Order: sequence, then C-alpha cells, then structure tokens
Amino acid sequence: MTVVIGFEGSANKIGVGIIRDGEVLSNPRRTYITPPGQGFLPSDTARHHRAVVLTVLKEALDQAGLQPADIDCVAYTKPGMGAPLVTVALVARTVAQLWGKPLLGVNHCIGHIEMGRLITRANNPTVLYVSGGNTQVIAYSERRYRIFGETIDIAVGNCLDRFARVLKQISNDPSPGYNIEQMAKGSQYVELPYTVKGMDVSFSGILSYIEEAAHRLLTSDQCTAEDLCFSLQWQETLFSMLVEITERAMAHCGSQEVLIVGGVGNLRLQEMMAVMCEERGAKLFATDEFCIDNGAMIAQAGWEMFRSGQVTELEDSWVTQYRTDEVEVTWRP
Amino acid sequence: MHHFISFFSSSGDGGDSSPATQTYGQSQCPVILILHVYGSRVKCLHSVKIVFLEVPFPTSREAEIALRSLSPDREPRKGGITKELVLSENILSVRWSADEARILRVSVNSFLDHLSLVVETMEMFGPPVSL
Repeated sequence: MTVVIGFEGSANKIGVGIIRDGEVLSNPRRTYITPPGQGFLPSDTARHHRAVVLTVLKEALDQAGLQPADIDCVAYTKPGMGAPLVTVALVARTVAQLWGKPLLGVNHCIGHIEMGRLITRANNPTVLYVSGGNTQVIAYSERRYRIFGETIDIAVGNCLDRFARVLKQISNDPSPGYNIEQMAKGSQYVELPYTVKGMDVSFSGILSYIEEAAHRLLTSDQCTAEDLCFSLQWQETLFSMLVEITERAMAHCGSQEVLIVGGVGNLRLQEMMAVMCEERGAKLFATDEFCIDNGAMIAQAGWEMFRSGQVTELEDSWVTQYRTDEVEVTWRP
Repeated sequence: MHHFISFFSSSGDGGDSSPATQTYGQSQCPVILILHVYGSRVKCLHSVKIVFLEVPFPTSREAEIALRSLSPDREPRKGGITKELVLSENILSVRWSADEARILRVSVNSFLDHLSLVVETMEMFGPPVSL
C-alpha cells in the first residue's frame, strides 16, 4: 500500500488530501472568497492560506485516521500564484523533513488529469482543462501530456470572473462561474465575437467587448444581465469555442473519449460537450466534486509519480512556473 | 514582527548599529530572534544596507530543517539584494545586503512570515523523527 498526502494552494483554494491506492481517505479544503466585484490578489490569498493551512493539514490526518508514520510521500502543487504556492510549499517541505518522508512537486494540471482519470476510469481521454488560470486541450502521446490547443491570452475562467466583476451583483461564493451559470436564464442572444484561431482560442477580446457592451446595453435597457450571462456562457460563445477545439483535437488523435477537468467544468459545458460526443459516437467523462482544486488530486498524481520512482530533492523544490508538457509521464505506457 | 522592521527603517544610512532581542511569536514558542542592523556608507555615492538575523532553535536538527525549508525559493527580484543563510549548531543566521531599504524591508518581512510558518509547523507536527 502506498499513501500519499497532497497539498494544493496554487489559487484561492487551500486543500490537503490523502490518497491510499486510489481511495480518497480525506480531502478538506478552504476557499478564499472575496467580496463581489473583486478578484483575489496573491498577497491576500497567501495570508488566507497561511492562516488555515495547518488546521486543514490537521483535519486531513484526523479524518483519514492516520499518523504521519503511515504516509509514504508528501506531494505539493506547482505552478500557480507565487505567494500562495510558497506558503503551501513551506509546510510541505517542513513536514516531509519532520516525518522523514520524500517530497514530490506535482504539476497542477497533471493533478487534475490524474484525478479525473481515477474518478471516471477514462482510459486515454482527450482532456479539456478549463479553470481560472488555464485553458488547454491535452492528449497523451509518447510519455507527455501534449498541448494541442490553448488560450493565447487569458483563461476562460478568468474571462468569466472578470465579467462577473463588471456586473458587480454576482457573488464570488462559491465561484463567479457557478453564479453566472445560475443567472444564465436569459433568452435574448447578444452577439459576441467568436475567436477560435486554429487550435487556439482567445478570450480577452470577448471580455473587452462585453465590458463595453454591458455598460451600454444595460443602461439603455436593451438587454438584462441574465441575457448577457446566457450569451457569454451558452449560445455559440465561450463554451462553443472550447467544444470546437476539443473536437478538432479528437479528430486529430482518433480519440473516442473526452475528459473535462478544472473549475470551469460546469453542467452547461458538460451538456454542450455531450452533444458533440454523441454526434461523434464518443464518450464524455466529467467529475463534479473533484473538478475544483483540491488536495486529493495532487496526492493522486503524486501517487502515480512516486510509484514510478519520482521524487523532488529539497534543493530543487523551489516554486516555479512550468508547462503541462514539460513533465515526463513515467507512469503511463 | 513589525517592531523589528520599523526599528530597521529608522536606522537610516547612519553608521549606528545595535542589536534587538525579542521572544518570537506566541508565548509557547521557544525561538528568540536577534537582529542586528547596520547602515554604512560605502564609497561616496553608494550606500549598502545590511541586516543580520540570528534564530536559535531548540536543536541543531530543527535548525537544519528550517534552513532546508526556507532556502529553496529564490528572491523574486533580480539584483539589488542578496540573502545568505548559514547554519551554526542550533543557530540559523541570515545576512541580507541590499541597495535600497525598501527592497530590504520586503525581503526581511517576507522571510519573517515564512519563518514563523515553519516554526509553527514544527510545533504542531514535530518533533522530527529520528533518522
């Protein structure tokens, strides 16, 4: 049996999860929620994580009913927002030394992919990774998770978050994207730019457009906030762009499986992806509970990496930014 | 913690140097910080600011763990500041030197934040297992 504890804290969630051979033993988490109209800044987020990280770690051990001696490896996330990551890495490094266990740096995106594969049992899916910081279409080939398409500017979640700030009344609890989905009950379609560029997508222009249009249309009563949520999220815009590049990657790889991971993987996106999959005779996999950043996903990717012989030396454990396709996947054939 | 920083800032460019001592963190915490501040003129146009910090730990093992937890991350800023961590028995010593007080203050502040987290982690999840 191999037990791995995983620390997540690359954005506004702080979580610690424990995995024992595919079984989630515990996965407590806290979210830093900012007031409506505000995003989360690195230093404030780090302060939040700093205040709760040790409590969350204690909860993870207690809920799993484990002692530090039962743990085989301490995994922590990177890349992400620098200051919050350092907070989490400091605790991971310290407990790894206190307990005499190996340390392992886990790529955040690979955490999402491996957790998605564990929960859904998808074998070799084309992955759509959509979150507040990332938008990538990924497929596995020759020991790498290769990026087939991605955003050329901001992430889709960032576009939704910042749109929520424009409307101001949208709460950040549990997330702006969730509340946009709840509000997207409008019926009038406001035409927005559609910016797929080959295999890549662009969201910053759509955001600038809707920021300007929201002010103009809402003040002159030409549409409602619900119409804007509907148009942005639903018909032919953000999610359609994502479905389009996912389908193209599938066609290229001959893949018959899609896995959606990351915090933007909401019901509407799953619904639209399901339509495309049905037309192609492909299967859609998605996780609801584990889509959002959590400690168990870092533990799960860490479990795979550790079992295949990877560890991170303390001297090399500095927090850094690196891409999904820089990691050699030593645990898959 | 801010006590130290304001103490440092007020020392300015003058040649004064004096140590400060205070029990660190919560009352149960065994760690004492000793902070020396030097502001000295080097050449005629260039002033260099130096901060020296000594952190005694209960044992040399814990001092080593703190050193290895705190040293991997590089200074976010390129140039203008150097930070050196040295271990001597159970004492972790840190020496900063920087061109500007502002940069120095940010680095010292963030180091003290990180140090307090590491110490608190040791208190809650230590002591270290014997190797």
